[in-house]
Amino acid sequence: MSPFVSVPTTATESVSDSTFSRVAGRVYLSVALFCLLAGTGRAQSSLPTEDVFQRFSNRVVKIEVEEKGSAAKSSIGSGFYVTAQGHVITNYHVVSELVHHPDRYSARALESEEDSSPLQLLDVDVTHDLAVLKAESFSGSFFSLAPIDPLQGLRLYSLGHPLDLGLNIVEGTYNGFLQHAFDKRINFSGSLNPGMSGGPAITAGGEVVGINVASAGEQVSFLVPVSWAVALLETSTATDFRSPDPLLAQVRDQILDWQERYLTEILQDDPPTVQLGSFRLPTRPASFFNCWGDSTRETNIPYQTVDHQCSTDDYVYVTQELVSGKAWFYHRLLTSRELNRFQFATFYTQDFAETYYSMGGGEDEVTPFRCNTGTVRQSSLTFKTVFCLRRYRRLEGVYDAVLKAAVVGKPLTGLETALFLSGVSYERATSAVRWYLGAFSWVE
Amino acid sequence: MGRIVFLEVLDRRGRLKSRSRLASFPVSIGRSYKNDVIVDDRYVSPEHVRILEGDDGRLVAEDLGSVNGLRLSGSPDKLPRVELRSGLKVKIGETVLRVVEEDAPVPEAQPLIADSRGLLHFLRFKPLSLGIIAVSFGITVLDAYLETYQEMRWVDVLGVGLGALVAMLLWAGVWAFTNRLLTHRFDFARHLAFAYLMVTLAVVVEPAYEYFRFFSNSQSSLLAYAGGGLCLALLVMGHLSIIPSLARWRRAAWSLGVAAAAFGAARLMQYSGESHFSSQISFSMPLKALGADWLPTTDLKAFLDESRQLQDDVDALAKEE
Repeated sequence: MSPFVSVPTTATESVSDSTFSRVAGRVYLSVALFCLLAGTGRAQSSLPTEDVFQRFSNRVVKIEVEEKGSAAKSSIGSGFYVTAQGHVITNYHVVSELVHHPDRYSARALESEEDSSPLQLLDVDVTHDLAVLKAESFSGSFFSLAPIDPLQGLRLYSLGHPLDLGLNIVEGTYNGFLQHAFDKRINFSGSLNPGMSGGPAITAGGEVVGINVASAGEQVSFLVPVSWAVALLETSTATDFRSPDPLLAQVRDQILDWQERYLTEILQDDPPTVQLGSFRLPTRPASFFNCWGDSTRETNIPYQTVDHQCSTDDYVYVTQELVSGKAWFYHRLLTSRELNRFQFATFYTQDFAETYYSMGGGEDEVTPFRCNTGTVRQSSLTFKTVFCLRRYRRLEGVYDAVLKAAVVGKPLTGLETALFLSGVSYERATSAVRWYLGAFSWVE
Repeated sequence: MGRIVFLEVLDRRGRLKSRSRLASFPVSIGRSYKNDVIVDDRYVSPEHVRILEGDDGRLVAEDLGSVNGLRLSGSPDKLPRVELRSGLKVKIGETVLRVVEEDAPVPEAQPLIADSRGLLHFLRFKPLSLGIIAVSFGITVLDAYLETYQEMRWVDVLGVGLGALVAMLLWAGVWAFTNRLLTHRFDFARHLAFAYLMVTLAVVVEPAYEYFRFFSNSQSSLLAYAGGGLCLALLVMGHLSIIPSLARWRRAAWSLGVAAAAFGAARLMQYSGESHFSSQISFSMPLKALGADWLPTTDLKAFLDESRQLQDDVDALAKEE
């Protein structure tokens, strides 16, 4: 996966172009510096983009993360100054190595290739992919952050260092928030590329609207709303602020807290149901869920399948290989009029064994899954049930949980279902399983 | 002495070279043609040793001043005289001598057909063998039919049966050829019928095992491996029984050895597969065509209570480095 987080639905896919992934894998965002006219007057130029660049580019920095042993940058990203004391806002994923391996990695801000300043990581907001750092020295120009409520179609200018090619400015438009996400994220129609993460997206007047965070390609990109950065900055500039130690504990608490709010929203009511065959099944449990369906229509195979799945575009970047904060589920109805019972049983067994899903994550980040198997009677249906759990190695109390089940005892009819939850507490996982399976029923 | 005694001459590997009936004593032994018993061994002197009968009837071997002397088998010490008890081995040069009395026990003869009873005996009737082959072929085709769920084509299903037939022919052919080498008989139809019987057994046992898993939700593969090992042992044992040149205990030892080796290799491969980290969830669970009323079930709460153990398991895993 590109370190520049891709769109949620494709977040676990790898980038197929090896050259792109090699460069992209280590590039975040940078800042070029024209220290002119900072914050003065409203641009009236007939060339607004050029003008925006001239006026604001000196507030943006390139952030280099260095592995101490190698004495060279291991990844780069972008950031921008937000206070007169040298506070810098960037993405959590740009500096996540400093959180997970504080003894091995350090970061610095570069206003130009010759002018760099060490950065100290103060605090993170992992669920909104933000971090605040402080530079030891800087030239003095900064953006003042304030919540902003722009209109759809507003022209935005994104600044950053795509592929470490130097500071770029990219034009695009504000297109509101993502519809299928619990947490607000801005849909930015502009071309963000790896390396621009952490850079600001601003109006022509220099007001920060969001922070570059991810891209789905083809001019579809995403920004973190500035309001989250305002909140993070407020905490970390308070007079009694002390940087959490270790920051990993902060990450753990934030993930669990976020999942608590997310699942509370989902689980507060029984889910609405949809009918597939004679089954009534849970569907779109909250307005921010998005459901898709499909069915087989081939005439030359002796069985039919109908798929129904629901997910959200939410995600929480934990490390380069591990994405958390997702909840999604799917149902598959299998029926046949042509197969006999034994043939259908073989088909059902095979299909159930073959549908699997990788949750991502490396061996040093998560444990292997451990599963419990049982035959569960619930709502007059009999489920062959598998419940699997794994833990985040460095985040105590944070688990990924998967429920897979298949209804048995219905002649020539099968129903497979699965519920995936990542970054949850064990108690939340089991209450979600109860909520989920409780919504199943059979209508004659 | 009224008894009859034999002198056996063995080479250094213990194989019998000659056996002489000793009628009168003394008996001279050596490489020269003047001896009563001539030994063809270049480490034996022309006049090497003689056997005397004492007044009390005991037999004594006496060294005649040979180059390499007279020794007890397995000992380097040269001895001038050795008393010969029945069965005692003495050594001259590289040759072993042994005196055996006429009442020494010998094992019972090995039967020409090693296992002349039971099923394998009946397989000697060709019509029965051919019948078993035909029925088993039908069973493999039926099994393939019941496991097909793509578009049904009889040529594919028959193809599975024919593929199995070809494999069986090759397998039985190897055994029949071995049979021919050892006993001058092929017994091809018996080998084929027996191999098919075992395949039929496996075709029947496998679904039984699947149903067992369906009822019990067992995720352990130990039983499958043990069953597979047992079937393999039976298979090898049966073929070896048709070839009549091995003693029963040797057949058993070979069969168990082959089965144990296969069992061990399978477990080892499984272990190396399991120890590899994966972020995917993989499991298999048979879903059978049976009414749900037959199944022992638990309610969801009990299932989740039972799953609480998983939390402790992964917490323990997380602490490992």
